[in-house]
Amino acid sequence: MTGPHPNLTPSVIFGLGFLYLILFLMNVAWTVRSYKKDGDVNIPSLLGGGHAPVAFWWGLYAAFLSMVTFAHFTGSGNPDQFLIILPDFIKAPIDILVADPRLFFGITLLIFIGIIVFRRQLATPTAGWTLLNASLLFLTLSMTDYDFRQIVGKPDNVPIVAMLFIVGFFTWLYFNRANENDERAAKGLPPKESENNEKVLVWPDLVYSELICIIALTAFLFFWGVCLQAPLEEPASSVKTPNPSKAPWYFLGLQEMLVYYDPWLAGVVFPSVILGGLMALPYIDFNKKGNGYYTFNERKFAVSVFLFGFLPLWVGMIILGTFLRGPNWNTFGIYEFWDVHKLEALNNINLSDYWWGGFGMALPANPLIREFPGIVLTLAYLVFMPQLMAATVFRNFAYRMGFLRFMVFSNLVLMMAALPIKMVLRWVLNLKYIVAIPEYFFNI
Amino acid sequence: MPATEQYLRNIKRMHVVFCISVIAFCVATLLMLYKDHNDEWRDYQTTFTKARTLKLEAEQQKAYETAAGSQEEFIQEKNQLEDKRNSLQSELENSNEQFQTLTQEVAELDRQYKQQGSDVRFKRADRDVARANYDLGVRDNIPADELEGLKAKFDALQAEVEAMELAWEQKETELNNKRDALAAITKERDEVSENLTKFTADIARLDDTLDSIAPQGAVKRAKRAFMEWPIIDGFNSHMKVVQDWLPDLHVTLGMTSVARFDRCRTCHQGISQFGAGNVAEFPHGEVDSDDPADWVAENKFPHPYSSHPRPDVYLTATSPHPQADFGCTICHDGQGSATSFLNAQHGPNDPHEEHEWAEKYGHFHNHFWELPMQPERLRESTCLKCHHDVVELGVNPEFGATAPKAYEGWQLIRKYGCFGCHEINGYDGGERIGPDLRLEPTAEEAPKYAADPNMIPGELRKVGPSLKHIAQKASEEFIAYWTEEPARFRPTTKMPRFFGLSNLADAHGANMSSVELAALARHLVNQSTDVTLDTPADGYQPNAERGKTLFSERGCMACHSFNDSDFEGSSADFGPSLTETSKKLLPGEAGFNWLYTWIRDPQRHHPRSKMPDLFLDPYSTPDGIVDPAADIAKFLQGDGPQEFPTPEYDDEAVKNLVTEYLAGKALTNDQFQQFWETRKYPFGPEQIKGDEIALVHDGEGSPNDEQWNNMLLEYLGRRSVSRYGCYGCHDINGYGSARPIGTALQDWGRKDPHRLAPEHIHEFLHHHGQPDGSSTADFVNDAVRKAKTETFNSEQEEEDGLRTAFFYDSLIHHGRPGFIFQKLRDPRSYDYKKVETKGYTERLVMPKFPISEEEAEAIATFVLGLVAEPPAPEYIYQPDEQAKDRNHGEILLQKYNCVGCHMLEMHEMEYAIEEGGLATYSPLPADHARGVKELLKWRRPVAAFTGRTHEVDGESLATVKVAGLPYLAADPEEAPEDQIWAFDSWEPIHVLSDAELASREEAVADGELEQILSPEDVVMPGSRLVIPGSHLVSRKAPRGGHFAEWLVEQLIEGRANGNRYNAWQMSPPPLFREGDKVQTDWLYRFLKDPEQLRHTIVLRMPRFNMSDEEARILANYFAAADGSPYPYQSLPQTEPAYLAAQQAEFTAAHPERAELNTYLEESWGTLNEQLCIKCHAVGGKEFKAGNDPNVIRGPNLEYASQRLRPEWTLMWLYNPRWITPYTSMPAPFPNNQQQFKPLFEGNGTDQTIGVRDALMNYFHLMERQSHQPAAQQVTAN
Repeated sequence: MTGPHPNLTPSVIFGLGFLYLILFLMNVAWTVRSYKKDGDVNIPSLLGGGHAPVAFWWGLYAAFLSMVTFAHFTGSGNPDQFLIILPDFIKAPIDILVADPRLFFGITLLIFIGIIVFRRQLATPTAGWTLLNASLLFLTLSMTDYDFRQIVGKPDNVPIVAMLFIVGFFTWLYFNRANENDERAAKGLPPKESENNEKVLVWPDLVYSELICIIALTAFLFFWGVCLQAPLEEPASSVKTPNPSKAPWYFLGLQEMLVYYDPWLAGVVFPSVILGGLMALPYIDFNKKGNGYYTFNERKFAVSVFLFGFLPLWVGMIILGTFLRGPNWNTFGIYEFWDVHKLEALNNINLSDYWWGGFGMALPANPLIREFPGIVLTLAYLVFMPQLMAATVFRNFAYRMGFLRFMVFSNLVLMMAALPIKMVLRWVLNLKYIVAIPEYFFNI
Repeated sequence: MPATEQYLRNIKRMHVVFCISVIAFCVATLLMLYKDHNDEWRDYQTTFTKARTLKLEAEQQKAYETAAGSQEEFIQEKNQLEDKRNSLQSELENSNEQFQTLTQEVAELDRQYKQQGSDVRFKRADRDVARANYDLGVRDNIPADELEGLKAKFDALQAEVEAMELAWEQKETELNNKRDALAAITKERDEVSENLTKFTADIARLDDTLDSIAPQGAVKRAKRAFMEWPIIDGFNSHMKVVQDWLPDLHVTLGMTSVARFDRCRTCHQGISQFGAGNVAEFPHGEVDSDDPADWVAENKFPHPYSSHPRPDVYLTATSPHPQADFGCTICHDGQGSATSFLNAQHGPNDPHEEHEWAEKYGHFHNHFWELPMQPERLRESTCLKCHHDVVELGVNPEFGATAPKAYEGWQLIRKYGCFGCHEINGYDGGERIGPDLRLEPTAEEAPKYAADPNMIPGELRKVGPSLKHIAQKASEEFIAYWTEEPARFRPTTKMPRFFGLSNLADAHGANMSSVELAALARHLVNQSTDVTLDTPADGYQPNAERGKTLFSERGCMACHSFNDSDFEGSSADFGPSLTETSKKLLPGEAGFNWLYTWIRDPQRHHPRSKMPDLFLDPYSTPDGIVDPAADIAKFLQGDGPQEFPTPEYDDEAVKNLVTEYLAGKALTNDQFQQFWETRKYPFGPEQIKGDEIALVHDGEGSPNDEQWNNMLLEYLGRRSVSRYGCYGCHDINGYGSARPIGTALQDWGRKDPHRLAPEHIHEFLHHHGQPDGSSTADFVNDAVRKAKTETFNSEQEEEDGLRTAFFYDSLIHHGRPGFIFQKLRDPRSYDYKKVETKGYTERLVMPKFPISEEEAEAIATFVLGLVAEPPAPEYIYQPDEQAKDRNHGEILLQKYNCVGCHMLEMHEMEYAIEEGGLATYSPLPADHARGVKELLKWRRPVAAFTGRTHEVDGESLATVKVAGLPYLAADPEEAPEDQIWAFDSWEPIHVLSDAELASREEAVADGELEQILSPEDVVMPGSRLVIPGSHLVSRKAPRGGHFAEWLVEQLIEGRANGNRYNAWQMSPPPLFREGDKVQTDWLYRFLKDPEQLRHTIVLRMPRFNMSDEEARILANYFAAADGSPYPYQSLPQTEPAYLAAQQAEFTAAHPERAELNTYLEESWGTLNEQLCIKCHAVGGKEFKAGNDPNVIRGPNLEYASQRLRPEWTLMWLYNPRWITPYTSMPAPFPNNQQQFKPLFEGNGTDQTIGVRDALMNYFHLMERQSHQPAAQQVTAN
């Protein structure tokens, strides 16, 4: 009798064979493309030296994939002896890295910075293809782990996995185009978009394309609906909620904020500010460049701030919420069993406890007095920080925006920064609330 | 339109892409349609239709055979008939002029008749309009002249209608006359036609049915196939989802309660298909083949095609659970609205089946569905939703035991007293929600219940003995020894084991438990109070030898067992085994007196004891006074008491345990340290509410070591009693208002599995878990492997292995069944590796009961059925008064072990019999013809033949079933063919087959039974049947009476001198159809205070510790069980009308006697003749024992009028052996002996009836007699 949670079963191996087959076919196509476009590459002298087309290496890789595919199709009968799996010595460190929200956040930050810094190297087609291959290989290999499969393979989560690739693709696309335009700008050329800006016809260029898209997308949705059945869980009950109880995937970023902020802030104020702030952006922006074409160099600050808000703080949080948050809202590694019995020590205290406790005093009864350090700090953050920003790093901004626009801008930036700040405070100081007035449901 | 090169994209390529996307879209749409249509239930329906077609074809074939021998012959015969009809027809048409004319005339008349009918209808409609207009006019109060006009219109039309109707009727007569004339000519042809229809009726009916499901015609077949197409099938296709809508049966899904929609019949198409007589159309059976033809050939149908078992109980309209009202999921659970195997949440019965289902249907544990279908082994649990009294599921005169496992679980819970710790409250507020198993209120709680009429008290007594006076009975050493491991002292004990279990096996646990044992014993002795003990009369020398005989004869062994070679064959286990009793008692006088008092008056020591008062009062014999209680006590004392070791424990452990209870809880750590040093509790008695009161020294100064030790043990003893909940089973002073310590179980069957704590059970079962300590996981893997390879050695092994496997599988999936099973099997295993991280007093305390795994499964079945979700009231089983009394009575029968002594249902023998092998009644000269008739009317004969057959010497013989008492049991050492059974039947049986009986019943519709059954068809009760061993098919053990049968065997060898009948008369009588015999109110009084009735018997009916209510129910029970009227019976024989009629009859039959005596005087005279007085006290004269050894003293006839029902009495007087074959009483007035000649002129029948009437008027006649001068007393002279 195999265990209840087998890492590999014949059907899993067989199914992965198809993934490898697709990967193989993709790379065959890429090899052809590479043969046509990439030219030659030096062969290290160790291997005999000389030149070979880049496509040779891709061909080699594709051949390797074909063998792996073959192995999966023929070796599915004996899961216990199947060797193409993700070994534990790789799983363990990955689990350690991602299971700690601090490390996870750090990694997303590093990736974000890496994207900005190495944008030129990463936004080439070959690098993009390599990254795609790497991520697909990672996904496929990880599928050999039972727990990973449970999370990623849940029909609920399939669109999120797709979203990750889509986000990656469009980020890559943006930088690819922006790099090109930036290079053109450096050479004094106009952006590429301005070269080919002739008008096109509504029919057939627009409407026909739209029609095709409608039909193809509908067909796709049909296929999806047939292949992946809607996941049904237990009947809803107010006395017995699922554990973990998760929001729809697109709200998981907001739900993650609930860990750190009171519901009225995380659920009401911040979403409103995000929506309002996004609407306000065109009125805050004073940079006239970058309209109608891709560029990074001309809008470094705007793009970086947006990407910071979008990648680590939104997409990153969705990943955290979807794949890493398990029962009891504990974080789990991607290869870790979602064990309901896992306990995490979660004792947090308020700033006022630190303050009055630090003086060896009991908490004052009056909430305003009790919470005055937090109130002062919060007010200082929202009132004095903008002044400080205007006086220092954002002097230029303050000058060009004017007072009102700058105050809106700086408050939006500060609110965005409030999330990582609170996260750090929580992790470092076990800080629960900066201002805690539960008597009036007012906690920050 | 611009040219192609002007477009942004290549238009041709766009077309290609468009084409591809449209094709993809089409494929997607078709795929969607296919997936939507490709339901698995369609396959099941197709297969079922195929099976049904084949079955109908087979039936048709059979019908051909029955009608004509074969299909060809049938067709031939049919054709002949048709030819004949046709030739007659053509003859008429061609050569009979009259026929032709008449036919034409009839046709013309018919046309006219129809035309007139149509005209009449039109005119009537006009008339109705006129009437309605007139009515509207009246309503609207229109002017009188207008109204008059309307009336006139109506009148005119009405006159027309009447005229037309008359004409129409005349036309009809005319037509009918003509038709009759025609029929006279066509008579021959019509007869042939009718014969043809009759001859082909069965076949035609089958043809019609077949045509509707598997038509032969091409068009019909095409239409049928067309109706199965996607989309088309939405328009009333024959393939469709079948659903039972049950608006009043709700299911709770998460937050909401919705009506059930059971679609199970979509796939289980044959489930409710029953033929005439409730015979399954598709009987279930496992067939290896997948081919429906084979199923039909074997008449066995696999799931899901088979019919439901037990149509008498389920699904049919006449059963208590008709399918239209109950559907499926109320009993089976599961997802009723599902139409696929997977979604319906079928419940595999064991992991092997689960694997098979996984392969076949992709089955998996779906923990999202809260109500999966019950697996077969737990199926009975759902019965408890509606059957709150449970008893009818186990003992049911109509249906037998329909849920024996749930019933057994209920019995076990009552036997082991689980409810002492785990309350099962059957009420929520005042509403009944399930079985009610609660302790009766203690003396402390009783006033609360008495004060509040809305509080319904529990009814169950604690299962253990009272410990309120234990110090008078046993020593502290014994208590500790016993508690440590009860089965060590008494292997058959029901008391579970608390100590020495796995979670106390570590050194700390062992240390602490020895302290607890000592403390428990000390506390129990400390709390014990004394009762006054009786002693035998001064100087009485108890005789152990006599005690032994008395022990066996006076009824002790109906409930208790005692290991002794003389007592072999007795196996009573209602009360504890008494073999070891002597060892535990206090030594010397103290122990003896306690035992003596207990035997004589059990309630003195334990007021709620079930042990009855056996009337063991001293009596005098020629050899002097005998005190049976003293003799029995002497016998039981045997070798005297045993020494038990003084409980040993470690002082350090005492401190540890006290610390655990006190430090940081009742006292701060500092207070505790101080208390320990000074031995002075920091609070005074008035400030203490709990057990800590024991720690306050009530003497001067600080306690000395002994006092201190006693204080600590007393305190720990109290804490331990509370911790282990000892008071759940035993009465202990000071715990009257303590609450049960365990989880209440009334809704445990719905307990959220997430709230169960499996702890490390998975690991435990991986390494341990089996009784021998080996791994349960390995055992289960092995069992599943054996199931797969079919290598089990026996069915028992398979059952045991797969049972464990099922519950193991359930447990590792965090299921309730697995949890409770393991909890019962090894309650402390949930502490595996947990004791290391928790305090001693936090360890689990549930004890281990001496139950088998099979019993654990039964208990689990019961507890899982406790869901506290009663359906709508109309679904709850609500017995009528009779059934209610029967059910409640049944509980009392068990509670007081009535069945220990009395046989309630007789032995049943089924055996094969040769043609005419049953001697039916043939009149004897002594018999009263009238009596025989009346007997059959009074006690309806049951069918003897079972309809089954049995092979004897290669010959297939019909079998009969008879109830009664064995007279001679076969010697088991003889070869089966030499064995002989002799058997006395106790009820009249008839020898007609069902068909014969039915045809007779038909012949005399609404006839009286006597017109249907004549005495010649009946084997009279009391007949001796001899059954060769080779003919015996089966024996059904009797219900109860084990002790009586055992005692009979003892007495045959002893006092009864080898006479079995006499031995039976000395033993507790069977209570076969007792309800027909005694009057309810007498039985009630008798149960409350049994008087001595019989003088032959060696023991007396004891007096039970029974409430009035219980006595009432039990008295009603017997009448209810036999269908006799109760609670009140009339005695028509005492009423003037009856007596006047009898008098008239008497005067007519015996005019000369009538001049001398009235009817009653004549009867009274007969009763007081020399016959009855020989054996009975009657007419104020006491029984006098003579020297005749054949004279056996019978009951005092004085009681008869109050005790016996008149019908029974009459039958008894006709022939006592009809009622009780073993009786010594002869038939008093045989028909052929003209006894006591002048009285009734010696007519035995009249004498019999007269004596019965005299008995019924006994007191009236006695009184009259006492007022008459002696000389005038009626005598035979």
